[in-house]
Amino acid sequence: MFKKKFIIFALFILLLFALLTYQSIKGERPFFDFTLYPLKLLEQGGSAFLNIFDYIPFLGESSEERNFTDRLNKCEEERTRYKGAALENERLRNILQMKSERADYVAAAEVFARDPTNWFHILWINKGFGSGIAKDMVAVTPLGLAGRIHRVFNERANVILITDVNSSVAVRLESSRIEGILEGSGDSKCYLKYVSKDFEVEKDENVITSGLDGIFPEGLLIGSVSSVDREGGEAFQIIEVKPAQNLNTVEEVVILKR
Amino acid sequence: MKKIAIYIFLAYIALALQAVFFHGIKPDLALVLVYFYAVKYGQTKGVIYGAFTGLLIDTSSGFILGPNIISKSLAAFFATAIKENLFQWNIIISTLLMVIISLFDILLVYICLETFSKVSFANRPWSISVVEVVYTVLTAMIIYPLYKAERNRRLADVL
Repeated sequence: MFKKKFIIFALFILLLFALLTYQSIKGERPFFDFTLYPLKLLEQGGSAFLNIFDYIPFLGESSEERNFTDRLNKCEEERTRYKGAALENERLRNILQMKSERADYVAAAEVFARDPTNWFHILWINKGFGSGIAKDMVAVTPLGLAGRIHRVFNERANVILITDVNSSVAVRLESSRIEGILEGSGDSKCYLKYVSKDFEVEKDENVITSGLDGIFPEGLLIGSVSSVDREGGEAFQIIEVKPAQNLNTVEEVVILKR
Repeated sequence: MKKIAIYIFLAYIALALQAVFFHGIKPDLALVLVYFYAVKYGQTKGVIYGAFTGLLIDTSSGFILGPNIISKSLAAFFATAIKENLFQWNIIISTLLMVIISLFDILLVYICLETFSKVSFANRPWSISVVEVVYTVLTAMIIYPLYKAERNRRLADVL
């Protein structure tokens, strides 16, 4: 019995390795509609069920206490909603401004989920082919560059953020015009690479896209230099860049053409 | 049937918490669920549940399909294999096993991604994985008393 179970399990693992090899050769994973179902659920209110935690404090209270708590919570809820609406209004106004200012504007999209693992820095947005979005288009926020489109489906797409370890952007420093490649670190910052030790890099200097990679348009703000280590690297300096936009809190992005 | 439905729902909640609620480095809540499900319901059910949870994670990730299916099902397989050979079962042993399973899970996903995808994690700081293991183990330690209470209740029913 144990042997039979073990053989079935080993076959299952082998089958998975065959699937991985197939994807490795083809370069793309086979996407069937049913595999996107968890994402659809997330999009249709993934955070809605989190509201159940709002009801947990009611347990163990008397009806009068519950009444007061209920009213207080309603007031708090309303206040939070107005505050949220004001902030959203501000963000949407900035997005509208971008729409009128930029000729390469494609669409504005809402972020509905992030990668559930710590391996990738990915945002899922609620627009896809249907809104004119295509692979390698650029995702920005009013504060700066967020990333580029990685995979696109009919009604959703994912954005690989500039902080992802597999992201690289051709950049230059705004005032000194020094060029380099910006790579993600896998956490909340990026590294500016291939800058020779001969150049003097100032802390807090702005980092912008250079447009030399053919993906990101020239002149988009990315962030600023947060630390410079001239001794650490062998041939190049170690330059840490802090993105202008906190990429953990992005709620809407604007998609621009390549 | 009702229990598996609850656990499927819990897997979805874990996924949603990881995808929507947590920002920055997040604990592997799905692995904690797979671990407790496997030690509670045995190897076969644990492996099936691990594979299902891994499928949920891989589909939400947008990259290749398979690394988490393999890692979660193997995590369930080894967790039960080790547990079956232990005479004692307490929070210390459970935590130690969770550390091993968590590291094993990360290593397997890393190997699969490095080997079969075009992305490289050579420059990824290992501190991210270390923090993830710490968060995951702490979550497992918080959940352990619930598991223990359920186990004691079942034992009392049997006796």
